[in-house]
Amino acid sequence: MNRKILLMATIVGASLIMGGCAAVGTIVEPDIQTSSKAHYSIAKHSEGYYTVVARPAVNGRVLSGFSYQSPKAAKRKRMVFESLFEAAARFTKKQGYTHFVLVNPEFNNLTGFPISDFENFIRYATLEDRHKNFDTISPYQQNSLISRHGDVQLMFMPVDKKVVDSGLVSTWKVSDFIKDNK
Amino acid sequence: MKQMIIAGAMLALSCSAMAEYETFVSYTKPLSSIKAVKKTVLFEGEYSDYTKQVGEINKKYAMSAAGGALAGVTSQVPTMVGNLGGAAAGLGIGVAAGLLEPAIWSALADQQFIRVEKIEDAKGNFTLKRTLLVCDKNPSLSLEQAKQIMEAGK
Repeated sequence: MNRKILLMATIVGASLIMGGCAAVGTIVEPDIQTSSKAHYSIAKHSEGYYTVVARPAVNGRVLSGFSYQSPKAAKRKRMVFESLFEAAARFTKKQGYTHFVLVNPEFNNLTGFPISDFENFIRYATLEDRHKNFDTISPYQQNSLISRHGDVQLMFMPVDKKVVDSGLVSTWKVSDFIKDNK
Repeated sequence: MKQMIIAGAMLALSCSAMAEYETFVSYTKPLSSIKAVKKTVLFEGEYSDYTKQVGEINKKYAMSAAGGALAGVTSQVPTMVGNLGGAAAGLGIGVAAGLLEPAIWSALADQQFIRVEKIEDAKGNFTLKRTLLVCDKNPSLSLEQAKQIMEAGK
């Protein structure tokens, strides 16, 4: 009887986990380490883009997220985003590409989002933390950069040289985020 | 009465003067790679309008050049890439239409304007200089004010 219960629980648990995985894509890179010693997974989605997902954390402690506006949130965002971008860049390089684009709804380079350098990006992403009257990012929409639970997700796609050379799309350089030769 | 009118005008001016904004300038290719001979303003207006039109704008102004890299490409282009115009087809970008959903701005969301300028050389190589202006909606900038700021590069 106990074995049957255990077996049922395992099947149900596995189904739930698999169902959860399907909703967030398939892990294609289980461990990318950044220079800040943070580890991330990269998931691939059926639509062709990838995500790097992180809970905002400092020194291994998960923070409560960016649900409030404050200069502290701006500082935390910089630290987390820097690390996320590096993870995206390292994965892009591993795939054999030198550039990638962001495809988060709020920052979609493919539909004209012009920013493709980190300093301008962090300035844009922290507008509402630095100016209390701003409301640039709606944090709770689906596939948002920052989810309701405070998870930060970067949605990106490696792109080849044709896209970069076309001059039509703002693209991010891998070399801007990887200073070592790894 | 005159004093009330003047006071009202001063208040209106001070409100617009207090509008907070920041600008973000970017180039799709480094400006140093283009020996500019011609500059054309492709778009000036609301950022949300630009993202809807970016495909047609690109098709109209940019497709004949690009060094032949995009010439003659055809493919089943997902809706997202279709916004970049027919010549962007075949770039190998396949993104589902679901990602087309624009951000759902709240009633108090910031205003966003964009100015897109095509800077090209004698051979038709070009870069797009894009100036994004984000302004607090309360108070807010008029389109004319936003254009002046973006043109000045401030």
